[in-house]
Amino acid sequence: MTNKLQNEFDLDALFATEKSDAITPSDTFMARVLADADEIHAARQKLAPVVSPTPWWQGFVQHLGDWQAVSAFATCACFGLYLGYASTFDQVLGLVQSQETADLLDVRDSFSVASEFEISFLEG
Amino acid sequence: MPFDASSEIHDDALMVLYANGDGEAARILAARHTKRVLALAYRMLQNQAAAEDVAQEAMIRLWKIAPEWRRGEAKVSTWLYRIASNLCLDQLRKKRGAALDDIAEPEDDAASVEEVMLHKTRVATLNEAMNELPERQKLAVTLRHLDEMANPEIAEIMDISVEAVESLTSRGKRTLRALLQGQEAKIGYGT
Repeated sequence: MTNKLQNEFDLDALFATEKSDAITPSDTFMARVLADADEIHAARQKLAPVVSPTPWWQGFVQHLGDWQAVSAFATCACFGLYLGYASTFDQVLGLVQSQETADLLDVRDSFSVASEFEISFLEG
Repeated sequence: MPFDASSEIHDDALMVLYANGDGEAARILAARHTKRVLALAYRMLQNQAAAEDVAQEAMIRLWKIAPEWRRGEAKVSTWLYRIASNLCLDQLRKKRGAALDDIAEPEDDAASVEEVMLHKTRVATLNEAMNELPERQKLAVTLRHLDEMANPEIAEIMDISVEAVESLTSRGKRTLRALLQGQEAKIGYGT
C-alpha cells in the first residue's frame, strides 16, 4: 500500500475523502424546489380546459353520424320490434289467403302431368 | 399519503400522483433526488450558488414533464442526472477560458485542527485537478467514482456507449494521476 501511495497516486482514497465532503441541500433550497413544484402544478391547472360531461345521447348521435342516420336507425329499430312481437310473418304482411295460394298451385296435379308425359314418351 | 407507506412507492407512481396534484408526492420526489443532483452539480461546478441553480432547474424540468411521464421508459434518477449533467456541461463551456483563479477557493473554517485542514486540502487539491479535465471526462469520473454509478447508467445519462464511458473514466483517471503526481506530501500521502 505504501508503495502504491508513493509510486502511483491513490485516487480511490482521495475520492473517498471527497465523497464524505458532499454538499447537503439547505432547507431554504428545498423550500424553493417545492415551491416550484406547487407553482408549476397550479399553472397547469389554470391552463387545463374545463371539461363538462357530455350526455350519452350526444355521443351516440356523434358516433352514428347525423340526424338522418339516427332517424333511419330509429325506424329500423321500431320495425324490428314490431317483427319481434308479431306472431307470424303472414300476419305481418296480411297474407291470410295463404291457403288459397296453395290451392291454386296444386302440387299433386303437376306430378300427374309429369307422369302422363313420361308414359307417352316411353310408348313412343 | 402517510410517509411510511410513501417510502415504498416507485418514482413512476409518484410522478403520476404529482401530476394529479398530490403535493406530498412532490415532497418525496424532491427528498429522494435533490441531494444527489445538487451534489453532482456542485462537484462539476465547484460553486454552491451555480450548483443550486442547476439542481433547481433540473427539478423544474421534472415537475414540468410529470404529466407526460411514460412509466418504465426511463428511471427518474437517470433522467434527472442527464438533465443536470447537460446543464453543468453548458455552464462549464460558458466558463471555458476563464482563469482558474476565478474559481472560488473553498473557505477554511476557523478551526485549526490539523485533520480538518488536511481534509480540506485534499478535497481542494482533487477539485483543482478535476477542473483541469475536459468536461466530459470530468462528468464521467464524477458519476463513476464520486456518485458511484454503474457504467451502463452513466452511458444512458451521457448518451454514449458503455465502452465510451470506460474510455472516458480511464483517461480521466490517468490525467488526474498525472496532475496530482508530486503533490503527495502536500495532501499527506506518500513520503
